[in-house]
Amino acid sequence: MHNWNELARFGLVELAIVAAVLAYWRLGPDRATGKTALLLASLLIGVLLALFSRSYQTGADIWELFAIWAALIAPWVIIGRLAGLWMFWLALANLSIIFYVKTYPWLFGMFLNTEHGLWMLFALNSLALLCWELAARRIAWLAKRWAPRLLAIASATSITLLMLLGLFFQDIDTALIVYPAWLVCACAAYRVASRDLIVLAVGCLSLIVVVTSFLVEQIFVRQRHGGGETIDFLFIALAVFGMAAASGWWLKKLVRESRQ
Amino acid sequence: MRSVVAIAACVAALSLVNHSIFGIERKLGSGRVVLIELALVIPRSNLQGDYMDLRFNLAPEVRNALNLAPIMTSKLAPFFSLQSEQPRRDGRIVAGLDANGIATYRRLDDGTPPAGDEVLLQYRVREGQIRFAGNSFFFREGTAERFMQARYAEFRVAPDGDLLLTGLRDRYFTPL
Repeated sequence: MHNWNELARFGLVELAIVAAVLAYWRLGPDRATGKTALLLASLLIGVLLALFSRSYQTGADIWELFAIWAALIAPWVIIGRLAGLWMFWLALANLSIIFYVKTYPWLFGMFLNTEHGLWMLFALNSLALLCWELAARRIAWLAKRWAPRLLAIASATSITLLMLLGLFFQDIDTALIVYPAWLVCACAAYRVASRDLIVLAVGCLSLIVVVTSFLVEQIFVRQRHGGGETIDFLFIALAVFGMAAASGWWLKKLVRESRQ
Repeated sequence: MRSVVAIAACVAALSLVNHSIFGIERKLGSGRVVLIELALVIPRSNLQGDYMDLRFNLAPEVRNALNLAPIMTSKLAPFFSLQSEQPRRDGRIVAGLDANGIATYRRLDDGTPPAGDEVLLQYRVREGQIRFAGNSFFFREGTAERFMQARYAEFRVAPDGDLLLTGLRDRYFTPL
């Protein structure tokens, strides 16, 4: 630190970034190679920021690294017309929120806890999923199924966790309304309006987890009141087995339908 | 058009990073050298590399002065917290410096300017801990042995209390 050796290392990474951006320009913004060059430049910005945070140990929080990274590459994401770049940017946004809530949980003078963090992630990923699906109808380079599927998994994970919190803690009840609404919307969008079996399978898995947790919670309640038998757990095992079989049967039926 | 935006964004991003580099070099590179005595160093590693987890002798005194609740003991605490309140604010303390430049706790910063042998030090409260510049010292992989002898953390401190962790020193004040 404070020497030319260290500054030379910054220079090297910055040169690589400049080279990648010039390559984007020379190779052409609409060619796959040009787009890859822009993705590479976006990754190298992260290398530069990591080098910065290691060279100058000021105690900056890790969420700042991800948030600044996302901010700096935002213009490239917008002009890049590359699905992978958008997904990478959304991943950075997710990481910023996760680490922000974990390490510096204040926003507008309010203390953020895990529940607030999950709502923020749910809002971000669901909104991104909605925009993606609507835009993909007109924009060809967005029509990659893996991206909305990942967003659907992210959205499902956060709302499922919120629903579990709602089941186990009395004072968290918003999810008890939002979760069923989310399931209905997902079913309407991916069973009726369009057909995506992977998203439907994720929905089934989420429902199985929620129902199982609900049953476990009921057993705990009964045990607290002196009742509750070991056989209750056998019942849960059977319920899981039954729900998994039913989901499998339903999804298989949908596959057969879409083949016809 | 898109190429122009790409190049402009590149220039903007690199200017911002370089501005920060030179800003830190100017502000803290010329800052006062302050040593804080270490209670403990624990070698750890994460995604960013190998580092020493530093525990400062100053921290308990700051804790007491701030009336912080005891550190959360739940194993789930780092991942999961449903609390809606936590006494937490970053701030500055006034520390006295002895002949060797070792900082000792004097008081919380109350706005009165520090005396000649005093400096402002910024602290952060993270996960129930008092931290000075992040509490971690990153070093090259495989050199942990050398830094285990550390007794002092060496900081550059700007007049407003901003800190830069610049190295570790052993008990004879020799830089490691």
